[in-house]
Amino acid sequence: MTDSPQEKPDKPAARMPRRRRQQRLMLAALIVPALTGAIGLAVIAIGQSQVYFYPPRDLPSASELGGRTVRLGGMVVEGSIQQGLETDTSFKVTDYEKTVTVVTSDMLPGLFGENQGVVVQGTLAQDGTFVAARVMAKHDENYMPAEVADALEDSGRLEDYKNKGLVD
Amino acid sequence: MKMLAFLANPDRFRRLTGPALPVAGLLAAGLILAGAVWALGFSPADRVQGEAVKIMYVHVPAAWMAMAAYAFIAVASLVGYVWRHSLADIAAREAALPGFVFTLLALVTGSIWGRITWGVWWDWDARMTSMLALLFIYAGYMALWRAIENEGQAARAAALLAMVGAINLPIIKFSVDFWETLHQKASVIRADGPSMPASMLWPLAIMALGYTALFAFYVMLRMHTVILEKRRDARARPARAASTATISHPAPAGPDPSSPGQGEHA
Amino acid sequence: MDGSLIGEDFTLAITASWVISALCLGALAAWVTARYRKVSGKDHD
Repeated sequence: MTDSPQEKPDKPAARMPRRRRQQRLMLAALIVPALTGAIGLAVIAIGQSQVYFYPPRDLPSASELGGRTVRLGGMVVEGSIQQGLETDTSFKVTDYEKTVTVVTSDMLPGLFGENQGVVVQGTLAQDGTFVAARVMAKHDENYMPAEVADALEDSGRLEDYKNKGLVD
Repeated sequence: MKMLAFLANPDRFRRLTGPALPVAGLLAAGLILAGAVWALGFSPADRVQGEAVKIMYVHVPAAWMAMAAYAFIAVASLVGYVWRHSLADIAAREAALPGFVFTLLALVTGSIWGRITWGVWWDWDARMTSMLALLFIYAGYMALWRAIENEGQAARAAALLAMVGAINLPIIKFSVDFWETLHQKASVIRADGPSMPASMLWPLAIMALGYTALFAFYVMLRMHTVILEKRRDARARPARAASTATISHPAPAGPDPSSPGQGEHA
Repeated sequence: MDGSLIGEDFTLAITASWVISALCLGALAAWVTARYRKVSGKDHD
């Protein structure tokens, strides 16, 4: 697609050859998906090999972990929170299949509590206790006005909403 | 000539969008003000988060605009790249700074909100990491435009970067579903409909619309500015860039056929 | 440790988030307007 020698070099740019546009479209249609696909696959591959947190049922054994720092995530079991000496706290984390006991001396976030989501970061001791250096509260995507929740609780209908999974 | 062909479209663009500019500006100001009053003064506290939920009304619209602005850039880049549409390239380039600012705001307000609710300012989960990646992509995109001197080449390189980087958008959106994350799942745009009551959805929607109008205002005004700047620069130069031939040859034979001044959009 | 933040005071954090947002978006608007004024002032259309 070279210009013939007779053509004026300052051909108006407005008259864009359609073939060149189609060439660019094809170039974009090839390069962009190829690079995009490569990056997407890389991200997925990395994502599969890295775990942000383990639910209790997937938590490897202490010997498998070998003292590595990992994260454990789940729900705080009702009635399991115990204040120990000084700043130590222990509680249990469950995914309703397995339960892990966690001990920590980290300050607990305000949202931490029974039946609330939690993500802890630390190491798994040989005796199966998870020693957490960091405790993070996790909340779900549901929003409910405080007054509505109070009204539901008073009328005893909060249980319905809890069962529907709209509230934890 | 190249310069005339370039000017034809921009003038039409300015005529068409001229009246839209003050409308966008006023809408942005009005909607954001109304949204602020509603959100801060008349929206309920959340059952779990209490008053902290009030941060959502600036965090979520910023995050939405961060992604919308990038989608705009990706589409404009495609149009500019394939059709050699210089206005589309300019639109893409000028949307980058607003997009960067929205992303930064989403990260900062999110960090403050996270410190309160989760207990940490930051964590490397898939949502937060991919949003940070978006910030870097914006920065890289703006740097690329500045790094290449020839505007046409810069436009093409930037367009390719923008289009490839678009993969990050579905990654961000589905990060909370595809991977376990600290960040919660979507509350508004989800399969079962919003998990948010109307008393919160309304002020959120108004803030989001206000941010959208603001983005439109930014981009349109920047495009008008750039068009005027280019016209001013073109006037400051003769229509044909001074050819060395005219200076060194005292008796030119006629119009110089090798006119090099064909404009920057090669 | 009741798993809820109701009743707690977050005025500082809320104010900071809103003010930072307003300042950044406002500054960008001011800059964009100033650049436009600068170029449209010199033009004689």
